[in-house]
Amino acid sequence: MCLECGCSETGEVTIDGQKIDPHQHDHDHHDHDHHDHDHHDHDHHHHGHSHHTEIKAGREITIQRDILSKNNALAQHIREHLQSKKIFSMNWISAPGSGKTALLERLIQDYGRELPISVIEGDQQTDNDAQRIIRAGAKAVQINTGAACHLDAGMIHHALHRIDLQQTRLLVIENVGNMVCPTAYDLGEDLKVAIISAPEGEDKPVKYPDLLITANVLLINKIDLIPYLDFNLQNCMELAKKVNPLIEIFPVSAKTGEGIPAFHDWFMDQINHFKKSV
Amino acid sequence: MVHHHQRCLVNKPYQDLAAVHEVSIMMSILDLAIEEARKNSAERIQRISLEVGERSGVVIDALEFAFEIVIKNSIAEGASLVIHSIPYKGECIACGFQFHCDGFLICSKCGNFGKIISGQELRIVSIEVE
Repeated sequence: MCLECGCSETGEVTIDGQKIDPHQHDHDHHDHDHHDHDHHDHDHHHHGHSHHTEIKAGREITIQRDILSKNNALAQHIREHLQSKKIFSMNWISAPGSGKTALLERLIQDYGRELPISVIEGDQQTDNDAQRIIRAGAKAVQINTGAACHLDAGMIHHALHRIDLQQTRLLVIENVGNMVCPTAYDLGEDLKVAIISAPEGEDKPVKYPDLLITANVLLINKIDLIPYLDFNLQNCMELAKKVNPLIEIFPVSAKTGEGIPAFHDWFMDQINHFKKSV
Repeated sequence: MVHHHQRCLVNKPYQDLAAVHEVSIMMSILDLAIEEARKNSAERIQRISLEVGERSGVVIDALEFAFEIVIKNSIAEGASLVIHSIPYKGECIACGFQFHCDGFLICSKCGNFGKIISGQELRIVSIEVE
């Protein structure tokens, strides 16, 4: 567990099946490395002695720092690095089973040839999703988070070292299926995409507002199933707009392709805008 | 609203589910606290004070549970945790009225949209050391 940059999690994190050492960073983003010296002053095991002699009792120290400031600083570094390579990046977040991978397969089918896509897949276990992405025609790196419920900037940073950035114009991060924890972590993306699906219920935007508040766009997937459900699409969209008035919403079906062109048109506008700005 | 740290109020299955990302956040908190304590030549941390927004994505109960785990064998072992919960508030883009959001970012006065002015904080405010 890395207390230094907050880039790791409980349990074992692997990328494409290989264990990563969360303490080991390839660059010197951090002031120090756990392995480089044995006299570190940030250890989490109490040594039982102190190098300091001057002690005052009950002193108040004001800090006022964002708790995720280290994650956010690393995320900003990733963002700037990707932008310097003219790579547009997205972070896709949803509950498990809402169709993220199926929607990504659509995106790869439609744009994979003109827009080289690399995908970072986050799952607790298995590389099933990475295999699906590779079969669809894109490059994929699988992060297995083990016990962890979200991806953080440190994991993305490691994964990016396994991606050929020269051959990438679009980077998609498919987060671990979870609508709560991943929302707190900036991964350096340009666009945060939230996905819910019709079977999850029309009040999902209100039940899990944290994701909607931070997302730029909401995809409501599996609209082909609406005839079989008590799901009012209009109500769902209105609720989402009340939670986040600025959010863009696209009802889609990864299965039938309905609504996909509208989303892809909007998405290409975002990319073109991005290209002009970097 | 101030939550003083209390021991394990949540039941076990809930802890197992919810504690994971709060554990990693709590580790970051402890890291920042220890860094500051060392900078100030302190030997022990007696208290850590946080500000946690209602819509920060963090559950305060789970954070308190995680605190117990991460402080073990650190210079903060035995420390207390004080959490100030920051309300989720919006400001109307039309009339400027500031309102508490129950979920919808809609002005309770005129019905227009609002922008978020607080509630997403996740901040370490201060520590008490000796």
